Amino acid sequence: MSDSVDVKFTDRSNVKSKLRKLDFTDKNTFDLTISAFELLSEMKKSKLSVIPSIKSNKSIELYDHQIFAAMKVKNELGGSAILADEVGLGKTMEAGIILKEFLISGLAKNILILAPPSLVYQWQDELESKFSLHFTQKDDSDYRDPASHDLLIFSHSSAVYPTAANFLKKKNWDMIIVDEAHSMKNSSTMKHKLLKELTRRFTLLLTATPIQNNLGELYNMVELIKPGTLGTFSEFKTRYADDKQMRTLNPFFKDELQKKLSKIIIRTTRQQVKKYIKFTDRVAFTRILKPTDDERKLYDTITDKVREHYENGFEVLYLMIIQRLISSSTESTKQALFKMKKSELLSSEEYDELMEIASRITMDTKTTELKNTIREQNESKFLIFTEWKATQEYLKRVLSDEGYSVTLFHGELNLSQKAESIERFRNDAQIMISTSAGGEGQNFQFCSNVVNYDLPWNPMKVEQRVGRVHRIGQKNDVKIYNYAYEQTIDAYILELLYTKIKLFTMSLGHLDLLFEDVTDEKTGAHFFKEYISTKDQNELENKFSTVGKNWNNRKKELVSAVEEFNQEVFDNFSLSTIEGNDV
Amino acid sequence: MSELNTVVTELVLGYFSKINASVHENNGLYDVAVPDNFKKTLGDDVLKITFNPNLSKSTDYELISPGSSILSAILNECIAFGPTVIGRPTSHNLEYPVIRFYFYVVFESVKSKTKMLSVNIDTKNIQKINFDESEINFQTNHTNVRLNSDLIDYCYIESTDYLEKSMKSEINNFKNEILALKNEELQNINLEYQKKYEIIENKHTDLRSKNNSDASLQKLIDENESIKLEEAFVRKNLDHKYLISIDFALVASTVFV
Repeated sequence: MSDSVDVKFTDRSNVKSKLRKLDFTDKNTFDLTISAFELLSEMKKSKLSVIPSIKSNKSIELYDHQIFAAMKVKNELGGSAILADEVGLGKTMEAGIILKEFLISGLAKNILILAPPSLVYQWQDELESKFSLHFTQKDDSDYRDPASHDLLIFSHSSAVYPTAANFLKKKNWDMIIVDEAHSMKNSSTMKHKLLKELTRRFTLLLTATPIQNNLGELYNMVELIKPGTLGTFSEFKTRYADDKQMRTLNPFFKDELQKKLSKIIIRTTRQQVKKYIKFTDRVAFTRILKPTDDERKLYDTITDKVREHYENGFEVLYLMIIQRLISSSTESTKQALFKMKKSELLSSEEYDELMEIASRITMDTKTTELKNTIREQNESKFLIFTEWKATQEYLKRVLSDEGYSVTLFHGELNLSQKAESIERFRNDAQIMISTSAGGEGQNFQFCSNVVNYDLPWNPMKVEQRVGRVHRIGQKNDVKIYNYAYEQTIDAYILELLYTKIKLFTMSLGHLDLLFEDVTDEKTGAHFFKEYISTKDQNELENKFSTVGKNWNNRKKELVSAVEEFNQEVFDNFSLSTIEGNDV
Repeated sequence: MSELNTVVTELVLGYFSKINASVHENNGLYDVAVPDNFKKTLGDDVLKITFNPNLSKSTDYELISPGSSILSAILNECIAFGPTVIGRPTSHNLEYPVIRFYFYVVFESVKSKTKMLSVNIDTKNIQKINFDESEINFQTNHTNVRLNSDLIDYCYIESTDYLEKSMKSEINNFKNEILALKNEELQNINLEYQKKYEIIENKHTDLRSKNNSDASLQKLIDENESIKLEEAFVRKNLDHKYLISIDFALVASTVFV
């Protein structure tokens, strides 16, 4: 142990040299320096005033590394930092502590949060439920314009629209928080440029992967926090990069770079906190079921109709919705039939004939399987997701009839109804059936079974569902149940893509890398077009298999490269002095 | 106003005075005109600040308190001065100059702490000395001061030797505290990997009893190898994580004549 103590005597301010030159200064300057060091010492020990009130909220699990990060940002980093904890350690919580502390201490009065569109609700709900702070976002009824609200959440993509951007630029923000800030890594993008132009005192950038492709991205992020810290871009490149592409760190200057970064970046790893946080696994169960004859006929007939209209050039997005409805349940299929009749995709006779088949199906095969699964897990809680209200209502009826206590959760509930439903699920109900929209932003760590009754075609949406239960505070391994009928589009997506590249068990950070630019429409349309334009089953399997292989290769290249790169730069990045400190 | 707030106020106003900023105060609200060459450091040419949180909440004046970016910038400036001053005791004469070295000591490992210390070294005997310093007259005139480079180095080395000796027990306590934390984590790691290897061993026994394929066995061997690699990585990181660094940073000095 004694060998590992590094005792240094340093003279960074050249005091000895000044003594030699008899370069004396006035007493006031001397007093300023001594006071500054004394103040630094005091501040290092200074606790956050907001912690007791957060701790009093019993539904919040607060961890030492989160408090420490917040203390460091306030007491040592001047209120601006890159919060770069590894995935799942609660960066949002850290940002929440900081912003609440700054609000109550008077350091900040207005705060702008820029988040990916899919996380806007999550931010809003978490700040409301955990910190009792109401942030406005543009879908709220009281929303006016971006400059009219002191506490505002905006999506990255909406913020860059000229009208919104101009409003945002008008205001002097006290603090700007950017979630998934790696999307600002490229200095030539509109997002990065906008952030540079926004006036603010404090900036928090949240990302698990500050570097994705090259060291230049790290430089760009640091420039958003404290410009000039790493010199000019050319100086930075010459000194710290070992190759032209800036994909390798010059090992001779690694320590020096880490020292500079330590004044800007806070990074805690899972390894560092596993002493007090139990990380659980995800286990996926995919059931490809054989449908009944009626179910098969209904699905195939409607699919053929959809294919026919697709070939005739009918609107793709509309047809996609039909295909997604018939993949969910018979009840949602009835809704699809109604839509098709209304838009003249079906004749009255066809409609009647298909409705008759649908009405013969009293219980979906998927539902029988779901009931078995719930029964097998005894009295465990289940969070069942569906994209469609019709399926939600149907499942509620069936499961309630079975004697299960069920609560619903969807986007049409107001905040108090949502809270009521969550409380019911937490305390009484065994099952919650939620739409994806309703599930955003809510945390259900007390439940460890997630059912994808129907499958969102965008992997990020699946992650958002699973992420509701598989997060910090979850005590058990999370079981993910997925159902689809054989030879349906969902079966191909499930089997050939999700299961093959283990998407269900990938972390959000990795998914985010893989599907950074993937939107619902993009993925949905891609899968849908492949499926609907191919009649031959073998050809279809090959097509999906190729997509799967491409994703797998991308996963291997991108994810491993990014992980290695971040590890190389942040290896032994001794920033997180967590244990033993009195927080 | 808390003690910390008082220190902050004095430091910030003292700094503005040093850089010749023009400060106008009105009921706790300060308008500060920043000289051109400090605009970059302080972020603006005109600062509207207050040290009172309530005033900050009811006006557009920026609060200066821990967490403030202006305070952070001023602290960074002040700690970089590295000042030296001359002081003369008024109640008695010193036979030889005495140098007082100020150290900011930073203990760092998985936990950290800091403290300010100073040591007086008599330049004649090159040893630590105490003297009555109740009345000191500080000045900038140094016509009578004679200090050669070697002497300064000897005095500095003596001060660091003294500090290292006098802080031996504090350093040891810190080491022991860190060692206890390290041992606790080491035990957890031992247990964790013992469990992982037991699982592999059980799987192996299971495979052999069922006469499973070579492919399954190979998969298990790969899994075992990957756990070994992970364990080596964890252990290597552990040593690094619990390294202790103690920095005695020389931050200022006074020459008593």
